[in-house]
Amino acid sequence: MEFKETKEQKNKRTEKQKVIFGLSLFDLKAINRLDKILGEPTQDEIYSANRKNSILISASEDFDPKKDQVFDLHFRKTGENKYIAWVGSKQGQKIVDANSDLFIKSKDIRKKCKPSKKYPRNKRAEILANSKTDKIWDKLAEICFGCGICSYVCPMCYCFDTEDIVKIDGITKCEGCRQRSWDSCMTADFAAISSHDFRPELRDRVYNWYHHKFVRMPEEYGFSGCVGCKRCITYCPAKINFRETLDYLEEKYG
Amino acid sequence: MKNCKTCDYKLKEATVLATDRLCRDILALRIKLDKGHLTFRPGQFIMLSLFGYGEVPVAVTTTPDVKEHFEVAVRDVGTVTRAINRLRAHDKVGIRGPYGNGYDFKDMHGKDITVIAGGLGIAPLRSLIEYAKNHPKVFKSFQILYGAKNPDEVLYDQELFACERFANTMLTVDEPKGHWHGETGLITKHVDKLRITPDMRVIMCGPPVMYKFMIPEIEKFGIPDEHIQILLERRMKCGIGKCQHCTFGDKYVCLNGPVFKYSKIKNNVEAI
Repeated sequence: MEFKETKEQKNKRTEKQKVIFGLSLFDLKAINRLDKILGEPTQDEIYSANRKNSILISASEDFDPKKDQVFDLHFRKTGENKYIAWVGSKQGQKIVDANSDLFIKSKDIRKKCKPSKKYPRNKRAEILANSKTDKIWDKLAEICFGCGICSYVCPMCYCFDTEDIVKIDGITKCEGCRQRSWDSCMTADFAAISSHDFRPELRDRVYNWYHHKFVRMPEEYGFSGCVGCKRCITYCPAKINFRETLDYLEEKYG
Repeated sequence: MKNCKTCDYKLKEATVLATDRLCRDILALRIKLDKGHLTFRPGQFIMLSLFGYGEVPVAVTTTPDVKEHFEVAVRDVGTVTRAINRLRAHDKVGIRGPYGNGYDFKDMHGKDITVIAGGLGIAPLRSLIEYAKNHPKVFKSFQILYGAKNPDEVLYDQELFACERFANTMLTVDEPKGHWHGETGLITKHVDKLRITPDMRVIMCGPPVMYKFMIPEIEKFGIPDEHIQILLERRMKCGIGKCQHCTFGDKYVCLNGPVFKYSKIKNNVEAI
């Protein structure tokens, strides 16, 4: 949002059209879920403007997107420099038509991902909701740096912060902008007010991360806040694996 | 979320009509929307914004009975609130909302009501007190217990002393000085002086530490937890259940609160 002195500048949002290339199937799944989260009760203007102006091109080595997934083009590698392309939208078809020398028609040979064995979602939520006092959170807090990288790389972490900036440097485009930025629930002052911090301990913040993904989000939207991309495991400097935590709790309380 | 009619980011332009310095670091602002009126229920909050500084959630301190304008009280605790504390009449602000649930009037109708406030906690409760003053038949009886640090920090004292006509009112300060006419000592010391009835409803607003000591005192009288309503304060960026700053457990203060039945949140240690 932009403003000048005390007036909101109601410019039409002019998001640049962009291509997001190389998304994984996990990312597509996450976008599906974010569409729902930020689409109700009212469409989030910023998100939907960006969504409308983004062409999603995904790629995978093994599977194809499911029918309900949103994408414009999807490529599955089948051999050296050979790909099977799936068209997911009119936009995607346009790209194919414009580059018809690169594509040949092929039969429908959708390779579906086998559903993995899932721990029942409700049961997991119940176990997690009742595990607040478990020692595992203290243990995790001992090794966790609280750096927030797990929420930075997560395609489902959508917590945000807003701040106002004003033009004093000559670089900022607008006279004044109210900007939304990514925020992490792992940072120390995330739940603090002037007189009190409601989650002063790292253990509470770690627990909240799990609680949001596996308890609050399923309750609210009917799906969990984890699509299984495992990026948080890859990038965690403390080598924390959330699956191990879940396994431990499910075994102990399940 | 469910039934949330005002859950959007629409910013309404508004003008400060007047300001009143309630104490050293708290400013009351009377605000009027430039277009239309604010429709809200007592206990709801708004996002008050000042361009170039940011937005803060603040409770509306007046009742919907006055349609032309509404009031808020803001304590200077950070960048945004400091800038708000410097505002004067005719200055422009932005308003989003109202958000939140407001007081559960259905539950309170025809009951003995006890309002307990600590410090700036009187601000959101003022809308309830004013409501009770304007609609004397809604509640069976009304009493107010309000504690502040010292006489300078007692907010709306003239108004509250005037409430004695319709409500049993007790004002107390921790550190008395000057010509203080009210009680002295911590707020918990005066609970005994309240008129306790078994079916009464207790509405509380204050800092977390007040809840910690006050709730056990109230429970001593055998008042069930579902008859206690408390207001929670949180940092908020959206007001509509997205930014996640105000969550505790499975609750959002902006959607499920800010007024909570104590029975609904007592098992969550992060609540207060």
